[in-house]
Amino acid sequence: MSVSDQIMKGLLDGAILGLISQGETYGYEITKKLEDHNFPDISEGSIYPVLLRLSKKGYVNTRMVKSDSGGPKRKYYSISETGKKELKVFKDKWEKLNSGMNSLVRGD
Amino acid sequence: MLSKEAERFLREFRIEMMAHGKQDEAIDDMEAELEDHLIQAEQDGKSVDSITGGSVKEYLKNISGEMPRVNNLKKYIMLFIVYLAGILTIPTLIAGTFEWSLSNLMYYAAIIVLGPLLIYKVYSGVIINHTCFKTEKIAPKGYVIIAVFSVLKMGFLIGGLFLVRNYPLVTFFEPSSGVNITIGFILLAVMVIGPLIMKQWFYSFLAFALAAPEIIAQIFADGGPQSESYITISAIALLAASILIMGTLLISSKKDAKKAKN
Repeated sequence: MSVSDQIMKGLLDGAILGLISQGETYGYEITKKLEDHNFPDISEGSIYPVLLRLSKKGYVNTRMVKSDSGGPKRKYYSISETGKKELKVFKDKWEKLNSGMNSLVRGD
Repeated sequence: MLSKEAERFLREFRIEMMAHGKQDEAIDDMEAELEDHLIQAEQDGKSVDSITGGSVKEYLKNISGEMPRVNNLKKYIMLFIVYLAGILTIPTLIAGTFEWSLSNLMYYAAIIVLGPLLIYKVYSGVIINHTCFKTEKIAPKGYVIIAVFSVLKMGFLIGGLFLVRNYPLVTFFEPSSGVNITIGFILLAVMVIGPLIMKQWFYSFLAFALAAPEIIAQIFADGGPQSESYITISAIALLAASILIMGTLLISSKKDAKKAKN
């Protein structure tokens, strides 16, 4: 995996946790929101390993809801207390990293 | 309504996750989630590639890494191999005809190792390529493949037995039929009691049902395993045991389906 791929992978965890913190949501809606925010270079399916990882770490709560139209069940995600704490840590780190990287890349 | 490509992807997902020992509940949840996603993505004019990024295999590998596994999977695989070896050899041990030769042991080792691998490859191929996702019905082409595979499998099993009998290579020892029968009954006791302790009553029943024809023939036949009456009695008992096993499997799968619906 290239350096840029690894960066994207780490950022995607934080981005998805951030989206979930805005309100209960589900897989396809998350990909739409990522698209709306111009999150670059990801296949839609790559959010599912991330969602599994966030769930395993206890950062998100999940519930399955039966479809009224006979379709498959839909899994909804909401942020947990641990998730909120983790998101705060992520935001702090991201702000410092962002400013550091900008300074380095632009040669400020 | 999903496209054929999307249905194929979902079947491949299920088979791969099952083969990697992932937990049933996690597979069901993720399959529902992917199906829900694909329905909406296809309505928006996207293809399966939008999920996988172009490589189904690579994507399944990524997702598999995050899905929870059945606990103690390696232990269960080892137990399965031991159990398979047991139920395959016990009938011939009880008949007193088991040959302790290199070729015979290699024959059983090949069945135990290659058998499940080939069965997995053929059946997973049929399920992925020739089964309806919603109804889970196999298409006629799938039945043809299974039938051809079954005939070939029987051919190899019978041909293998012929080779083993004519070319023993090395005979380790030639115990009396009494010794073979004793070993057979000890192994049978292990294969029946072991699963019962683990509360897996079906495996206990299966081991007994497969050995029962030989036990019945040993008790009621006039001659030895080569005699006409022995072969007739054991064949009829084997047929009855097969019907019982199939019936039990059918009832238990119907029960499981009913449970899953609720």
